[in-house]
Amino acid sequence: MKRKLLSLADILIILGVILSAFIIFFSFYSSNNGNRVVVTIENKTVAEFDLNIDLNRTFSTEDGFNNLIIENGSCKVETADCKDGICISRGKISKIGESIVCLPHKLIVEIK
Amino acid sequence: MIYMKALSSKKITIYALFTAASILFGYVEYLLPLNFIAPGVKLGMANGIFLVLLLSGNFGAAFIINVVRILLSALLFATPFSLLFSLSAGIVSSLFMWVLSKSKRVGFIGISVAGGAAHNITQLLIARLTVGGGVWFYTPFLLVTGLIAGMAVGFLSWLVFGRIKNLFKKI
Repeated sequence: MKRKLLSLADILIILGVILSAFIIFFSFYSSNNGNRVVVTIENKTVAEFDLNIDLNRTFSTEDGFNNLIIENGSCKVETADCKDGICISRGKISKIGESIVCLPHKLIVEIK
Repeated sequence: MIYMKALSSKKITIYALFTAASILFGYVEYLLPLNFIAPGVKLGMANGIFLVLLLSGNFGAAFIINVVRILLSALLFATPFSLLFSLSAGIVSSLFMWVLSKSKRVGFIGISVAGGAAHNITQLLIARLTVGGGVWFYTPFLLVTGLIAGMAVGFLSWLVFGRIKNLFKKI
């Protein structure tokens, strides 16, 4: 039997991936605004802030720094010296469960 | 362990060519980053090389070329921390695709998509252990982008396989 490009088993695999993406999406996502900002570095909570109080704080580790800004009920990483800048391009977050991840600096900002 | 007998010079040449091509694919992806969508998003074109070798019955070569590619790419563009992600995900997804390929019922696209999902989930697990729980937020994005990329790579490797499958018969 010659291997096909797309078989019935493949369609089941594709549907399985789509279904798991949907299940995870709906179990994690919330349309409600959070009120706490939790910052973790290397899996340890290093700071917790109120999302409704404006703040400008820089987190420095031996890997580098990330500048966190909280204003008008949302938070963002304004500047950082990681090489990919994904944390900055993530933009503002405010909903429960949303997070900003900076993998090079092992830092996560999460809304709770 | 996998190769007890000596490789023919033709095999050495072909494997070297495949290794070089897979590093080049990695470089193209490095120049065209897609990870602004979510950390870790990429096309995974090098997986096409793995698939072509695996499905022509050369799992040993496919696996070694994949590991060599990851180590050499790490020297060129990565850090020890990102090597932890790429190497573990590369090994897990290679073994997963090898197991799936045992069944002829699974097609090119199915193996490629499952390998992409295994790759992304391994990286998420490593990130969960080293960085923290917030990384789970990206799971649905990585699954969906990995699905699209996996289908494209599966289709490409099917095209390439049709053209070069006879290459492996005479070596």
